[in-house]
Amino acid sequence: MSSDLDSIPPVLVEGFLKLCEGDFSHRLPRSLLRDKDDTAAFFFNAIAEELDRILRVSREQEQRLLRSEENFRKLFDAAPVPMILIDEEGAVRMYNDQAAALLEVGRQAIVGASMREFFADENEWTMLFERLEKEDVVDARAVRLRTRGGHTPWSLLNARTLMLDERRTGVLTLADLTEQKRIEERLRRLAARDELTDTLSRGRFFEVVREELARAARYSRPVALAMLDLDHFKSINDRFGHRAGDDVLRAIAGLMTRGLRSQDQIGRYGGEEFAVMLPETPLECAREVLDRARQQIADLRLDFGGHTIAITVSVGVVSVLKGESIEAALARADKLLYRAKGAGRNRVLAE
Amino acid sequence: MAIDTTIETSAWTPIGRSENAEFFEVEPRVLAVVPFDGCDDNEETARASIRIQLEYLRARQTRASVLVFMDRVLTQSAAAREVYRCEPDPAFHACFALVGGTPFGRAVGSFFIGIHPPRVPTRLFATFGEALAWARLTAGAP
Repeated sequence: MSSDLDSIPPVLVEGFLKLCEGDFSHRLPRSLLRDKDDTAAFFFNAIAEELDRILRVSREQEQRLLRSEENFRKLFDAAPVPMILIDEEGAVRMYNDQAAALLEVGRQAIVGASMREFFADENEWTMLFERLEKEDVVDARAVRLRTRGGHTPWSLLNARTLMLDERRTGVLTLADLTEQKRIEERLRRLAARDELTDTLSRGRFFEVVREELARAARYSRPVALAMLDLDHFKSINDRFGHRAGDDVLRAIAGLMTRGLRSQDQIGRYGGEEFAVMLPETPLECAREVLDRARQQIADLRLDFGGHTIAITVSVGVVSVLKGESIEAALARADKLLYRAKGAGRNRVLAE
Repeated sequence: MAIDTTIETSAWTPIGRSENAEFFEVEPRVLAVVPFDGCDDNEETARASIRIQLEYLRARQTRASVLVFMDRVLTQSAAAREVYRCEPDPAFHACFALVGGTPFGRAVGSFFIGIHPPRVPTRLFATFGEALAWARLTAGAP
C-alpha cells in the first residue's frame, strides 16, 4: 500500500489535504507542459476553484437568507396591527409587538400556546379555526378576546392560511374594536332612551307600542295610551331658567317611572310632553293609575336654588280601538289632553 | 515531449478572431473555435467567443454546431465555464462538439462538461472526425 501512495506526487497529496482542511484557495503550481503532472495540477486547481466558488455562493445565499429573515421580522414587528401566526394545531408560532400589547403578554411568552386560551368564548375559537382549516379564510369577524391580564377586549379578526417554511400557517390580524363597541353601545342606548329624562326616546316608544298593539290585537287585549303634559312649564323655565326646567322634567319622569307598573312604558314625546302606554289595562283602570301619578306629581315640591317649585300635569288617556294606529290613538289622547288643559289643568280625562 | 496541437484550417472560412482564438466556418452549419495554442480562457474571452459565434449566426439566421479544440487551452477559469453554461442560444447553437485528443485536452473538456454543462447538447470526442460527424448530425447539416 505504501508504494501505491508513493506514486502520488507529494504536492498533490498536500493539495488534497488542504482541501480537506477547508482551504479552497490553495493552488498547485503548473508546469504548463500539459503532460501528466500538469494535467493533474489542472484538475486539482479547477476543483479547488469550483469548491471555492460554491462555498462563496453558499455563504452569500446564507447571508441573503439571514437578511431576508431579519427584514421579515422587522416588517412583522413594525406592522401597525396585531399579527399572530399559528400552526396547523392552532398554536402560536410567532406574534408581533402589537399582538403582545393587545394580549398583555411578553415577547416570545406565548409561543406554543393555543390561541383557544385567548378567546373569551373557546367555542368561538373552535368554530373559527375549523372554518380557517376548511376555507383558508376568515373575514371581518368581531370576536371577544381574553388577555393574560384578564381583560376581554373586542377585536376584528381577519385570517388567511399560507405555506411558510413548508408548513401550513394561519396569519391572524386583529384590530381593536373596544372603543368602537363602547361607542356603539352608547349610541344604541342614546337612540333608545331620552338622555335627559332616561325615558324611552320617541322613536323607541313608538316601536314598543307597535309591538304591544300587534300582540294585543292577536289576543284582543286592551291597551291604553295617554298623553301627559306639564302645566305652565314655560313659566318655570322663564322664572328659574332652563336648568331648573331640566331638573323638573327629570323629577317628573322619575316619579312617573316609579309610580307606573313595570309593564307600563313611558316615552318623552316632546319638550315637556310624555306619552304613556298601559298594556292589558282597561280605560277606567288606566285613568286611575294615571290619576294617582298626577296626584303624586301635584304633591311634589322641588327645591331649586332656595325656591320651591310645584308642578302639575294634565293627561288625556284613551283605550286603543281595534285596528287603530298608534298615531290615531295618540291624536285622540292629545285632544283629550288639551280639553284637560282647557278645563283647568291638573286633571286626567279619559275617553 | 511537446504535444502537437496543430489544426489544419486552410480549407475553412475565417469568420472572426478574439484575443485568444480564431473562428471558422468549417462547412455550412458547422463552425469551429480554434484557441491559440497555450491560451488562457477567462470570463472576458469566453463572452467574446460566444458573441462572435452568435453575431455570425444571427446575421445569417442560421443554426449551427460548433467544434471546439480543447487541447490548445492552457487554463480555463470557472467564470469562463459559467459563461459557456449560460450564454449560448439554443435558437442558433445546435450543439458543442469538443475535441480533446490529448489527456490534457480531455481533462479540460470533461471538467467543463461535468461541472458546467451548457444549455445546448455538448459532447467530448477524441478526434476531429468523430466530433464533425456528430456535429453534422445534430445540426442537420448535409
